[in-house]
Amino acid sequence: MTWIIMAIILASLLESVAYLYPFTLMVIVVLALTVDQKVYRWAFLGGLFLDLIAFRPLGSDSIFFLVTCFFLSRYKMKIYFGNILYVFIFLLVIISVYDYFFNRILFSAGHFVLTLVLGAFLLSIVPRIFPEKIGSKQKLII
Amino acid sequence: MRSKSFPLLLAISLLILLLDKKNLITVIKAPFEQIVVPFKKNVYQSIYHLRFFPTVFMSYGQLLQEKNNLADLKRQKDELNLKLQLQAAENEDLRRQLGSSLPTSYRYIPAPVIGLSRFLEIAAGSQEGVGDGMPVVVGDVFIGNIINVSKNRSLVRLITDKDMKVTAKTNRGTFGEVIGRVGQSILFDKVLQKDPLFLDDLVVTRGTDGLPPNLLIGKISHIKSDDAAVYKEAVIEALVDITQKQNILIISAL
Repeated sequence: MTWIIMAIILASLLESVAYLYPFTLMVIVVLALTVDQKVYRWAFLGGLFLDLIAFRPLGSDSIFFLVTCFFLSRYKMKIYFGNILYVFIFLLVIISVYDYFFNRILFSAGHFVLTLVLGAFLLSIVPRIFPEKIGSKQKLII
Repeated sequence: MRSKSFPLLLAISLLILLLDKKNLITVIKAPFEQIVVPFKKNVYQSIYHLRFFPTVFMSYGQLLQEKNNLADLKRQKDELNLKLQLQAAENEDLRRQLGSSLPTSYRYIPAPVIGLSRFLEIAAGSQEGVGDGMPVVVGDVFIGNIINVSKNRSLVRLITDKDMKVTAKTNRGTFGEVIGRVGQSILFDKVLQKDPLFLDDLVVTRGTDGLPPNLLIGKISHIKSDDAAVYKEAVIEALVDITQKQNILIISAL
């Protein structure tokens, strides 16, 4: 749990102070893919924290994160058991939608590359921290 | 994932958003700002200095030499400051004698930068006198305007923001509209084909949409002209790199 809190705080700070990229959303999505329990609560709390830090309307990020996690839960079986390509496509789509809604960025090559690199990094690290949380049927392999 | 918590949390989020839009939870948010603002300021300062580390490392010898020249410059600065004070006092005295009103200079609120994402976040809010719509400058250069104010901090929509539109003119008197583009570029649009537009023309605010007139925006770096179109447009190069700035000024009164 400490790791999750630290990751959300660090991501929110980076996003609001240093670089315009949805780091917090990336963390939430990776958590939703790899850690099954309580992800809705992390999405809700992470969104509220980001709104407070980044001076956005309180609740706006929470709603986006919750809806994202909901869609993930609906289509997780397809994404989880399929090729890693499905995961990256989902990440790219959701990051692009978030970028457009919150940052008015339609397409950014930098964000595209960062999504792939950061996604691969987080998806390879998180299962090592939470190995017991991965479903028994198949592990997500990078 | 248990989906029972999803509708409840979504409903709570929507409720919080609605209450925040109506400014009904400002009292709850205010204590967090007391902690967040100084913390973000420190983080931003640290990241700001880190950006210069490679440059400092590569030019260490040159910096050492320049440090030795600083003492002379400081002495000259002190002398100039003294002359300035004497001349300002003389001007004030003359104005009083001539019966004119107080000097017509803008009133500024200085503010440190504590965050830069889509908007610029500054550590100055309503308690410093900041209000919605106030223009923000760095020197004589217009960089944006205030869009959201709380007690201790404010958000600045930058001139490069996609939602930014400012009526402007060039130093040759050509009128147009400055539109922000994501990233560092700015577009000078809706320029009539017959109006003169040249490279390196300076673009300034026109003063017709609530902003003070003649604030610098940038200079023309590229012109796009299509004879078949009604308007021509140009790309403006910004005069200020906002990532290099730690402090900005808000014009609070004209």
